[in-house]
Amino acid sequence: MRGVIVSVIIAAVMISGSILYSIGIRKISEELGSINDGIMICLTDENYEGAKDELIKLIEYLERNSTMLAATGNHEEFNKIEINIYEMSGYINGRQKTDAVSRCKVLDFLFEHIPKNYELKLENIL
Amino acid sequence: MLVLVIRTLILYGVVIAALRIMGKRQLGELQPSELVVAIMISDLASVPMQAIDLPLISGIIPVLTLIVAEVMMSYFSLKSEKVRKFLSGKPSIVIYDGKVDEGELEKLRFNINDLLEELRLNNYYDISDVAVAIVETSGKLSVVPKDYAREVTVEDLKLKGVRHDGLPCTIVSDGILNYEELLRSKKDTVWLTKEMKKRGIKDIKEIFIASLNGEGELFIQMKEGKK
Repeated sequence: MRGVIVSVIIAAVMISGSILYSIGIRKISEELGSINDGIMICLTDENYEGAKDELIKLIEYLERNSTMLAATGNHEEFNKIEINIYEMSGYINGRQKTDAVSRCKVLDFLFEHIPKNYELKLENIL
Repeated sequence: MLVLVIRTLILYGVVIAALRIMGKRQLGELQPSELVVAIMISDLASVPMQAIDLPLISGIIPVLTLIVAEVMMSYFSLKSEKVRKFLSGKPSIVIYDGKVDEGELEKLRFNINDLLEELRLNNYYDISDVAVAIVETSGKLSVVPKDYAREVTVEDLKLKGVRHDGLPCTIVSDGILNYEELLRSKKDTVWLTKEMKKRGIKDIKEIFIASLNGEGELFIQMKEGKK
């Protein structure tokens, strides 16, 4: 009986944890996307100083949420995000608008992709 | 490298806890579903152990899910015979009243050589000595011998004054007194102290094992290096 009770508790914790995690990771993904949009706008306006500030904001936000992201996400995906951020930083410093914008687009895709694997969809289950 | 060690220890702890939650059944004969779960748990835990790129939780959550599923299925099979039959099947009687049931053997894809082998492993070398043989849901064979072939019991010999052994109480284990066992043996610390004094034992920590059987006989073994 004790095993049954423990199992029910584990099941409840897993389900509620999954729901809370999905909500949390979606919020993080949206916030990252929003900051990334800010960088894109600055780059479009050729406001490189503004883009740098937004990039710092992005890096700080990622660092603040790194534990939650690393807890369940694929580390390889986060390595890709970091690589793209560093590349974008280089392009912004070098005032290379086209390359910086393309990195922005890649990051946009990666940030959108973060919560997708955890959505309750048939394609994820299969 | 230390990261790998820590991850391995964490997953080891999770697997041990999982097996404990699933209960003692895992340690004995396994039903088909239990065997599958045990194999899956070990496989699932080993993947994030080696792959440092994968989050630890990608091994822990599937293991926990399997435990929950296994415990709940065990619980439902306890409460419902239909579920029990679906999950574990039912025992098959392959020999009844001394006669081999060929149809049942065929259903089990058990040939006569397999049957004879299992009988031998159960110490029945002559099939004519067997009254009933049952293939249990775990695949093991249980045998009920014919009356003339079974082991003699105390009742058969009509013996008087038979020793009552029962389950011995391990009162002291590695120098530590086990109060529960002492209570179960219906003795107390005063009695134990007297027994120790009789044998010239000064300290309970010198005792490796002290066991009291159903006849009230106390067995004491001292630790190595102690008299």
